[in-house]
Amino acid sequence: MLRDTVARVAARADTPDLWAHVAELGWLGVATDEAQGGIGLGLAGAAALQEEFGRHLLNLPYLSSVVAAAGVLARCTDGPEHLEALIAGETRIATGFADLFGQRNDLRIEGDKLSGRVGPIEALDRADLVLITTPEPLLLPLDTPGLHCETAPAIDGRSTGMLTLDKVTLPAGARLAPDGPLYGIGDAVLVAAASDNLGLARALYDLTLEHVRTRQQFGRPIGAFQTIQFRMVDLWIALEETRSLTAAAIAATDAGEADASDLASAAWIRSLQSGHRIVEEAIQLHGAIGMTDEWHGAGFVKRFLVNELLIGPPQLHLPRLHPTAPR
Amino acid sequence: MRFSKEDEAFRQEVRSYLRDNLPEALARKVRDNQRLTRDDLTGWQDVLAARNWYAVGWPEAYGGPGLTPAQRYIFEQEYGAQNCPRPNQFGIAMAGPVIYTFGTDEQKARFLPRIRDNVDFWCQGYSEPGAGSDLAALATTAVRDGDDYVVNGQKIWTTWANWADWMFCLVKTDTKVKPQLGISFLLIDMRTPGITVRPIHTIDGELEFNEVFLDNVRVPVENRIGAEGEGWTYGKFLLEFERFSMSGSASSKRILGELTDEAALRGLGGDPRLADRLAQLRVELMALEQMELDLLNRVIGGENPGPEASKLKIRGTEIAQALTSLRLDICGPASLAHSEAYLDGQAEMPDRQAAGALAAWLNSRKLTIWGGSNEIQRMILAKQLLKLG
Repeated sequence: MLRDTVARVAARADTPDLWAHVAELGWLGVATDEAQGGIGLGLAGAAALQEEFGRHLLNLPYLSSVVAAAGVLARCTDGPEHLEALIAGETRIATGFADLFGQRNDLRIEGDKLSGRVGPIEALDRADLVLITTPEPLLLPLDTPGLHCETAPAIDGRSTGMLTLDKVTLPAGARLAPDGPLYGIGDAVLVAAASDNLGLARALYDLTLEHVRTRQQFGRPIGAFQTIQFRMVDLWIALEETRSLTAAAIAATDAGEADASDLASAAWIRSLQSGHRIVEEAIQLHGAIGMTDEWHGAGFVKRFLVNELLIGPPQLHLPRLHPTAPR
Repeated sequence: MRFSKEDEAFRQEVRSYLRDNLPEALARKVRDNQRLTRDDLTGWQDVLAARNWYAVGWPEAYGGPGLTPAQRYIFEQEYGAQNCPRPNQFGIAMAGPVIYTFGTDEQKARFLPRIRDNVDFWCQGYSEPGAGSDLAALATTAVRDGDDYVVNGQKIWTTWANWADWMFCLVKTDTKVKPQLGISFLLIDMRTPGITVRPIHTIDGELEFNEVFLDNVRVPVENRIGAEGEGWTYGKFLLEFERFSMSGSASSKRILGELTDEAALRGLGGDPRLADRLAQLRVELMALEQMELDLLNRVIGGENPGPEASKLKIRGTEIAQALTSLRLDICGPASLAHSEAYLDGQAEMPDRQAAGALAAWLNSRKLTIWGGSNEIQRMILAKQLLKLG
């Protein structure tokens, strides 16, 4: 049900009131508990949506504004008011993943002043508030003195930005008080991002399989050649690995299992490794048309590359799975 | 995936039985990549048979323990988690299932108990010099003569033919029809006159491969399983059985843990590149394990996953090989000192992990070749699942 509506929304994604529309559909509260005004489908619900966003190329800052922001607010004693406005679509919050999984940032506190850079942050230019996920999360209005945003469009049409803090005095109420550790939020973000990669990789794989079945050269479909067949099988296996790992990570995160963090990191890392293989082979197997902007696959390729830059490459995430990593 | 309370109790039962009954000397041999003798292997199989866990996959109706698919999976996980020798599969996982699925009541009564109780040691007569991946091209013939077939030809790469009491064998009973249609499935007593076994040393120096020459070997017709000319069907049935159990995920997980400890012992614990490689293999193993659990869930739901199990064989064997490369890199130049006597369990070496590292790398090359090479697995997936070609 939830999944089916994504294709319909994606078909009219250029409406100016898109955010209000998806708020009406309940998407902004999918993962939030019913007691806190959400639908209560947990990460399973958010990840299912995110997978469809990837599959249908729907550009919504969902990871940043919903999976991360609503997740953090739901765990903070002073969050409910903001959470309600977020779910209703009235307040838009962009999230900078500082300290969540070693994301690049150099935030430092000097006395009661905060300085440094945080980012990349998705949809910073459309946000009312910015959430910074330090262990003690910070929620700041974007017009706070000393806060500077540099935003730029990304190649897939999304907007990204870097936040610079120059001796910012924290306004009253900016420090949120979480009632527990926030690492579960990082896991949820990774799993939802892996789901997005899964959705777009599946779409690209399907497109490529169809192409090699039908494209004729030397009097037969190119999929009749064994070199193409073996590569397609390897793409299928790569997709299966991401699918199984992501499903396991969703279940483990929702159930609060002890191995949830490991599975979340593994799902994200493998979705990148599988994704690279699928993206690169999809272009190669399509030949010259795969190099063009009018090719159906082009949007998936760009979205994948932007996903990786936003959440970080395998090198950034592997240390969480090092033998010596704290668990 | 969550298992039921009963299944978790079964896990504890398997874990303690294996732990309490696996001889330490044998576990050390397995861990440190030393070669096993026939007595090592059959002695351990007796331990399994005593608990009726040798023919662990068999249904109760044929004398097996009748485990559910979940218990079967748990058994494999626990088995791989300890340094148990990989048992001879040819009787329990291949000859046995073909006999109980396609054999007569007489054949079941005659062969099954002796397989289950580890009385007979089996080998597999499939490959020939001219028939490897293209198995249907086999040329060994069986010509009917009264109540016997007279078998002539040659099998090769026959693992453990040098130790075996029995060989199940694909032979040509009709050379005039399409190759797949003229094949029959025979059980051959290895003591029959006319059989010559010539061992072939593998690249790591181990003796597990053999050539088997069959020169006017008389095999009673009653040793044929199923109908004449139907052998190809039974052979293919077996290959699907084989693929499902070939991921080796549990033993690979154990080895990754051992290598992590080994790296720390050798002062490499702080090397970030090595830590990345260990983490990368963990990711791949987690993916393998989850794919396995997904298939298990489908089997529990009554589905037959068919050719999809090939993905487990492909990834599982690739990972197992990568682990042997990692072992070499961790042990480094210490792996240079070579001792056949150590590998045969006849001498000690100061650095046991390193002493077996090269042999383990070499021996692991077989993983992507046997059981239907990984190329054959990809052909099966391309044709049957992706519908290409």
